[in-house]
Amino acid sequence: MTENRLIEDNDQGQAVRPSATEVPWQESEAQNPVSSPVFTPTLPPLDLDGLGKDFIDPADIEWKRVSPKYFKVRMISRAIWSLIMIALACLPLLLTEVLGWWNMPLWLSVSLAAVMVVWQIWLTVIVSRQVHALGYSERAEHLLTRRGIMFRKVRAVPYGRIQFIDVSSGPIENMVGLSHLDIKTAGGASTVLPGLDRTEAQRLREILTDLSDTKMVGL
Amino acid sequence: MSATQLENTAHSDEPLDREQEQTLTWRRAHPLSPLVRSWLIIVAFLLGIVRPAVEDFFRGDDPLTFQDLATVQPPESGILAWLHIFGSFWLPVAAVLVFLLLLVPFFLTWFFYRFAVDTSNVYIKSGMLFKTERKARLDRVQSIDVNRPLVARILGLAELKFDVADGAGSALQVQYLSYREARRLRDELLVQVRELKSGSKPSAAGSQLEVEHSAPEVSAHTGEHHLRQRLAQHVTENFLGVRGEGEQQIVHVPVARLLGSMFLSLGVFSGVLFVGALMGVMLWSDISFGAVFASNLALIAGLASALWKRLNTGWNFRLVTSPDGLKTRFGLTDTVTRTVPEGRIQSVIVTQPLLWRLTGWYKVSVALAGQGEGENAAFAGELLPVGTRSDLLRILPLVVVDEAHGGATAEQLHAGLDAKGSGHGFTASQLTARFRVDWFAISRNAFSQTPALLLVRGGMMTKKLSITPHAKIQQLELKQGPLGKRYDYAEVSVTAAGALVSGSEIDLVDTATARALLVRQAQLGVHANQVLATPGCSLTGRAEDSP
Repeated sequence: MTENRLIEDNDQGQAVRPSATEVPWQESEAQNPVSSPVFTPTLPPLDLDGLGKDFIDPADIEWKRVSPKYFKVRMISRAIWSLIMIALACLPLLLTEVLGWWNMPLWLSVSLAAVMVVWQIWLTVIVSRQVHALGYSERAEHLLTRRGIMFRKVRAVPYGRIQFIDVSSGPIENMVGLSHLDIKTAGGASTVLPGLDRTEAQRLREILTDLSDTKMVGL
Repeated sequence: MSATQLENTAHSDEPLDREQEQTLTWRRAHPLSPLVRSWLIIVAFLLGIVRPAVEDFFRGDDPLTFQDLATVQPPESGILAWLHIFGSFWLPVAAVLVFLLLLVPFFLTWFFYRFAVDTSNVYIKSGMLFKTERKARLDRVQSIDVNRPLVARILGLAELKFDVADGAGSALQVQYLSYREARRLRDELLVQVRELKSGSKPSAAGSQLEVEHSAPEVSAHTGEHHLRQRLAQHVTENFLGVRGEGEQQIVHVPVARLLGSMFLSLGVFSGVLFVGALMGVMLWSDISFGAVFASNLALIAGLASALWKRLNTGWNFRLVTSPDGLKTRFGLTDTVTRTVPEGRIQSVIVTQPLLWRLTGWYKVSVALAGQGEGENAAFAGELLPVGTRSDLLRILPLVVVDEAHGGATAEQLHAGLDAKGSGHGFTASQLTARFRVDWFAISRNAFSQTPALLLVRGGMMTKKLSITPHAKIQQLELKQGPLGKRYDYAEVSVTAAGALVSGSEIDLVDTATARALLVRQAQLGVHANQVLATPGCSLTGRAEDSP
């Protein structure tokens, strides 16, 4: 009954990894007594797998990536924002040099604009990596999401905790036929799952709704 | 129950069924309640108009009139003639009329505000032009509290507040009933709520109750009492406090200790220091007191307001156990009773600010679903504003699952409060000595997992221990920034419902442990859910233990 696939997908015919004996919850999972679980009180600081410091994701998770079209969405919105920001940063230059209303030193206004341009280029460059870092995975009991390169985040939302799910799409997403999912639990910020095809978003919503219905435990 | 949870917001604004509405008996709030709501206007009227008028009367002066105007220029138009006839009389009359006119909306609101109760729902109808009908299912009601603002207290009224669990922190309120009526209604409704929640069919008693309510029976008794007796009763009920049936007091916070704790809190300490410094500067540089005061008015007002809130929410604080769960009673001007039903507690946080170590005081607060938002969020789930260690040890067993049910042992709790480093089941942050981001907190930062609870310890200055049942954890997150990547550590944050869970971040754990913790925590949550789902077995213990 407890298909805790979050850790090990033994039931899918994968070989048990050699380090499995060191993982303390493996034993309890094997015995699986529902009324009186036997857990070791704490986790020793152990190296779970060879991944070391490169990934903080739990091991053996196949992440579903978001639609490649989402890159387009991000690029378009990035382009719009970049233009606005650069225009704002160029304002002192314009007001000082062309219109002569302000009296700002040339080096300051130029460097302001330059810094903004470089910053926006950087933001544009990392969009592709950011999009690539997005992922989600439907486990037996949890929805996992991950995001971020510099600041990585992996979030686990138990199905039984989902209070409601919104499917929505903005104008740019609409153009390429994408939606995003907004998953809300009773506590904390909502989990946003961007860049899903409409059909995939609908599918996820229905599945998550069903799962949260069947697994819901009241507050 | 769970099937409807998703499309829930537990009360709906849909119009009710006609025939359903027929069977309900709608009641109004107490007729004095508009006065409570409009007290500001009344006070303004009394101070601004009545008092000068009375003073004028006793001084023998004529009130302000247009008589001069009238004598200088004989009235020709109708209105001036009219004014002339009424002479000195017209101004007070107009004032009273305007005053009454201002009160009219309050009375209209009261008139169109009606509520009804049946076996499974509470209904509230309100609005004259825009009618709203709200309905709260009793089985979703988390707690029913009797609150009493000062004015209501003087008039012997009380507000009945239904807390509904839909995460949005919304509540239905019946403003106002007579205190006795409110308490009676509350007690009866709580019985119904408990029946509904325990799954038994709402008994016939429930519907009888409702019929019984519908006749306001307060007026029946009141005539017999002597005025003095009634006054005495009024005073005891409204100012000295009444203890309900089956209640047992756990903790009482003396006022002296509350004042002491306020003084020893760092904010106040620095505030006092600041004011002292201000005085010094003032004396030294010969600035007038008024100027200094005025320039820092906002700051001083902020400090005073914070102090006042603390004082008001901690005054005469009592924690009692009752058949409905824990209850807290407090308030200097407003008397508030809060019910904390068993099982509604999302997490427990024990804190000890730096200066409280001198006196050995602790503070206990709980995060509650659907509360913890709004103006008094900081005090919403307070079980103990300030208490000694023995107070703490009396409270913790009530809200923390014991060892037999997979909870924490006493030693573990003690370790969570005092200890540093690993031991007693705690795993402390293990970082290489070469890189310590948070030098001071590092030996206290630790977590511990029992079969039912997650304990997170932290804080070097303000000691903190947060205790969250696995079953209450809403989502988990594993985070790692660039520094963490460089030095191989991560952060796990655990979110429960009800805002106040800043204590549940497990910081600076090495990556492998963090990952294992996340995975393990996720599994324990699922496990706890399954245990909870099987009938007759509960991890939140206690209430079910002692039937």
